[in-house]
Amino acid sequence: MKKVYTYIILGMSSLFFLHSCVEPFEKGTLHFENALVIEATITNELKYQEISLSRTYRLEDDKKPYEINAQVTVLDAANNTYNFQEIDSGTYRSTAKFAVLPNRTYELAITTSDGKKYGSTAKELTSANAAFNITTKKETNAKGIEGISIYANSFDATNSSKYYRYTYEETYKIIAPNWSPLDAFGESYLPTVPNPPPYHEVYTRPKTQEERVCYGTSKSNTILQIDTNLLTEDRVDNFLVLFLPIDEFKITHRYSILVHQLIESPEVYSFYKTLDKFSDSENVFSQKQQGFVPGNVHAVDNPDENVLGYFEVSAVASERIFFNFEDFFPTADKPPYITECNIIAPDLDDYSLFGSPDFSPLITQLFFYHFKFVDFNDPRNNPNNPYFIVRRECGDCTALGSNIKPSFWID
Amino acid sequence: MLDYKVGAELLLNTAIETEVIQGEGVAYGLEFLIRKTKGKLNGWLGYSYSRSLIKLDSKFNEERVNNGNLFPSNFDKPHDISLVANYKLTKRYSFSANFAYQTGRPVTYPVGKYIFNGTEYVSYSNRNEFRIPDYYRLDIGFNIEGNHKIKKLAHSFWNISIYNVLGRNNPYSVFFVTENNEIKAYKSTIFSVPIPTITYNIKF
Repeated sequence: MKKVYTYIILGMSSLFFLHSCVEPFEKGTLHFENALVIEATITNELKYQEISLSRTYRLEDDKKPYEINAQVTVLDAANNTYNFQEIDSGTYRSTAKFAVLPNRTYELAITTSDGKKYGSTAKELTSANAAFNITTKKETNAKGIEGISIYANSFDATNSSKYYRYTYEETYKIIAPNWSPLDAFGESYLPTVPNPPPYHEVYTRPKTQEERVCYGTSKSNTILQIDTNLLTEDRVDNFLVLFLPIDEFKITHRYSILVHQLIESPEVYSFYKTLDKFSDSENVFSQKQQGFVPGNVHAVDNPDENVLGYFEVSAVASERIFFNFEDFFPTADKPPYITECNIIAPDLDDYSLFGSPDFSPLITQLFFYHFKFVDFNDPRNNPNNPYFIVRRECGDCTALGSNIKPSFWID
Repeated sequence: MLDYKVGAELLLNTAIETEVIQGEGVAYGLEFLIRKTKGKLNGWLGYSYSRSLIKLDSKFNEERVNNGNLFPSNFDKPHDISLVANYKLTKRYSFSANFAYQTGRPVTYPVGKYIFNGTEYVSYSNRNEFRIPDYYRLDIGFNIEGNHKIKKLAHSFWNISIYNVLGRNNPYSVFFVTENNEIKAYKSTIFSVPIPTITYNIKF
């Protein structure tokens, strides 16, 4: 009898464990809210200012919809209107260069293509008194990785900057390791009468564009900010903007970084701080209070419509630096290339691979997979494998960057 | 009433006071109860309508929730019905049923994604804009009393019952977790299948 009770108790407790559980909830029931997303930071730098507009998209989608054909203007307290025009889907650029002036408020006004009006709170330029510079240092980081650190430093003797945010743009030279001055082409002949077998031909031609040296660019996408409220001086001392490990592909040859220091208002700082809490992964045990993150933009006719983003008027200071890999690591091995470059010599005719004599493996690789010519194979030993080829990234740097040297580039 | 700022994280937080905001709370409600104590059929039916709302407004964005409007607090479950019925078949056998219904509690849903500053973020609805599915559950039971001898060592009876006879998968909580940039929705449930029980009770 005792045994029976034990079984009953065990059975009962296992029922509890089986049926008290965490399981995926049907996503289909979730509601989608289509909201406008405004990214607008205008600065005291004299330039074409840019504002981007997009919309939210469904959780299961991964394509960002742009807000196109909107009318975008910035108005200032002196009744000046700065018009913006769409230069690319969702990207609006001011029709003339302008710089934000101090002691004057600015407001954003947007009318979307469906006639809805959006506005922002009035913002004034933040303090432009900070002296800014960046420094680089070769060091080993906390994880034991050797590399180059890029630090921001700033000092404001008037004690009025306080909130700092950093963004950067990287530009780096790419040299295709398996570049050749020649390009390979192929043609397949499929005669029908009186049914001779098809045959394939390949030939080379000199390249018509620069494909050896290119310039890649990438922009920062993390929130880097710091405040000096608790410090005795309004000073930013060696704030780590970026750490480039020794095996980072971008620093292989010559590297340049343009760092912007944006002085923020306390509201903008707190907006980014909240936003940043949602940028890293969570687990079941560290739940965050979720909710809409309000910015300073709103729908004019409906105060309860949620609009995402911020209209920011910031004082900016920028500095660009250049360095070569050898400046820091004169004897070290260069970082590995971004992809593996396996050189192959496919058959010109090999019916077994595609099961049809209509297809040539070599021409298929060249034509459909954009493989690049590297060199000629020895025709005496390999008459059916005439060329060495490699994947496009290894022979053509335009796969990774632009072959036009940027105007700011100094060799 | 207290509630959390958007993005508040409580685990291992040594400065929780900086993550909460104080707001005006509003609570009101009405309760009904009908009870029958005599007769073969007895039991009660209760219904309560109760609201618990909160308003978090401030001139600072981070301390304002739902644009400063009144919204349901985490405890807001407007409708609550409970029904308990016993039916005596004979002196020894009786039948009982219990039914409970509650409005699902308020929840904040992810309502989309967006790109800002080159990074993808999840956009959330207003705080507590949605509700998890309503809760209801029916339990039934059958009682068998022991003999009616006056001189007994102890009074005993058997009870055979089924908990959650409808097998409803009542979510106890619905929550969302961001894993590898992908948002996942989970619900936690307890006893989502009918659970039969047999008990032997002794009173002394």
